[in-house]
Amino acid sequence: MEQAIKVIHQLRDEGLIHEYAIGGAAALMFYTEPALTYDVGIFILTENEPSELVSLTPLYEALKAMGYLPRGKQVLIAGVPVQFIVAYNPLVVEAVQQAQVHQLGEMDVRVMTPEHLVAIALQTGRPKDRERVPLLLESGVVVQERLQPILQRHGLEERWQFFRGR
Amino acid sequence: MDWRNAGNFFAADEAVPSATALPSQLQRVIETEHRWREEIRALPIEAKLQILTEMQRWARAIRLATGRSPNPVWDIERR
Repeated sequence: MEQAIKVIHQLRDEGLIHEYAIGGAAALMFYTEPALTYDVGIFILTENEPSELVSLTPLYEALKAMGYLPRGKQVLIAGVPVQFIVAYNPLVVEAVQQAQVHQLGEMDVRVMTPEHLVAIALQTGRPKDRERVPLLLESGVVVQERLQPILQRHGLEERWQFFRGR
Repeated sequence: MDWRNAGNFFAADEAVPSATALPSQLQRVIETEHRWREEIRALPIEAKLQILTEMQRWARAIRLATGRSPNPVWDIERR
């Protein structure tokens, strides 16, 4: 796992990605109990304008040169399947920009905040994402004062009310 | 439970009697699970990764036993 993070840092140092953050189920582990997942979701920012189409070819070429070959949507890096996802909307961009730094062994690793993980789960709305929200809430890691402005900025208050009211 | 709430997990929750009214054995099970989950949450990330890979091993065994393709199991120790 640490080796995979090291490779991602190398890609960042080489300018192939501008910034990254772990999101999805893999990020949960930093705040609450583990949830079953088969890959590490790495959300990335590139230097492109948000409106531009982003090609991940240079990234995959660099990984290939390091000996890490793609397998479907993932790249197996040092024994861990990694999925690179370009930050696809303003909420996800913000989540990558405002990620927290955690410690993984000797490595610093950027992980989306619990509040952003909740907001993204509400936004995507898939059952597996919605299941993550109670895990984070039960853990007491979600700070309402930080969550509310995120929900407001990204138009998710109604979904939050709906979720809370169920 | 009101039939109109059928399938609504959260509504169903409200119909569950309070823990104090449950038989003591069931109450102990709930409390134990609650305590275990709290202990797991407090573990360092390295230990949680070990738990996750164990979950992946079980998931793989189930998938194979039911004739499906195996899921990956992370090799978290690889350098």
